[in-house]
Amino acid sequence: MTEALDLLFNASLWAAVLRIATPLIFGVLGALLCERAGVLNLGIEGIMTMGAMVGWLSVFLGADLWTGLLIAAAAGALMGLLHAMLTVPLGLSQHVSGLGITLFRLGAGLLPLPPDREVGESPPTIEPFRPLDIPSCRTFPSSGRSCSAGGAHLPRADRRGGHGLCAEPHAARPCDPDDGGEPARGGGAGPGPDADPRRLRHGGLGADGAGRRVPDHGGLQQLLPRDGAGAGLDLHRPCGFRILEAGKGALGALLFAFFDAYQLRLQTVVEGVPYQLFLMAPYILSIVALILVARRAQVPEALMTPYRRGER
Amino acid sequence: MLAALHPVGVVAAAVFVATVFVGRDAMSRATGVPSFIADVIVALALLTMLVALLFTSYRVRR
Repeated sequence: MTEALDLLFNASLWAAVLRIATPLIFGVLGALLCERAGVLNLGIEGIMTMGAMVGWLSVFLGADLWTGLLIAAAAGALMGLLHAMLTVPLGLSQHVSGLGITLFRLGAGLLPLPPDREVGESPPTIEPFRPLDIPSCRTFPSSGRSCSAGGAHLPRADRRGGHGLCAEPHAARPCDPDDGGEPARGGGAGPGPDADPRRLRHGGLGADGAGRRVPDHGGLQQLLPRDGAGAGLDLHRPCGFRILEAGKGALGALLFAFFDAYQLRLQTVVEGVPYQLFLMAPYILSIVALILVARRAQVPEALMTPYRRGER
Repeated sequence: MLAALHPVGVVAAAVFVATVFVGRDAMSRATGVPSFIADVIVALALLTMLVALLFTSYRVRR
């Protein structure tokens, strides 16, 4: 029992929380933009996989890391606009098109993988971003040494976590609930009376795609389906904490990341419990948290309602 | 969705998806094509059906 509590005071746990939460936070930001624009985007996993694969492949084929990052963002934006085309001008079911596009992107994004890789063979890798040396972080207890099973370093984890957390207030600003407007008109949460719902929705989905997963992994194995499986639900879960407040979305992402990092470490100190139960823990705890919080959730009235000019 | 909400269509759609998924590994080994193409086929079928259903709600006027 004391070992389980000791884990909470381990710097590596909190570094892992930031590392796991950062892509979730970027995903939550995208989901926030989409849902505030009135479109439910179930294509999150596919966008993440496609963006990661395209970015990784660009770097593998010779582009530098920043170019790869831009290409990944462009690929994500393109995929977001594909979803926008189906759901906004055509007004198709947002659920079905989101799921269909997720399936398409998951498959298409992984097509470049070699089909006949030998079992145990190391996958191709690229040189990832180097840890950022932040002078003020040098005094941290674990600074400069490996602090997680994945080999990430604390400054790097801080930098990546910082990006996600710094981006949250910017996402909160454009759709401030106090902005007024006509939520039921089709634009989502308080777009203002002059906003064009179609442009708003296209913009939300495009920006959502662009802001998705950044290719910060060096190994191809990190892009395999295992990595993306369930990530879409992971991202909608923090959104459930709730949509109109980016800060709470970030907290939800951090909470899920904490559960995930903690269960992984608990497996090493608690014996006799099947590891599947530990794997279930973050999901169960997140569902419980959702039950407690979701009652007060606020969603735009226009969410999932197709906008047709002249109807409203 | 592939079955257009028809109970009999569900059976046909399930057989179609199962056929694609069951055959993908054999296809991958035989032809060297990535097995992920099965997901692409099913996804494109779904999206095609979705857009086709949209067009059924319009009538061509002369």
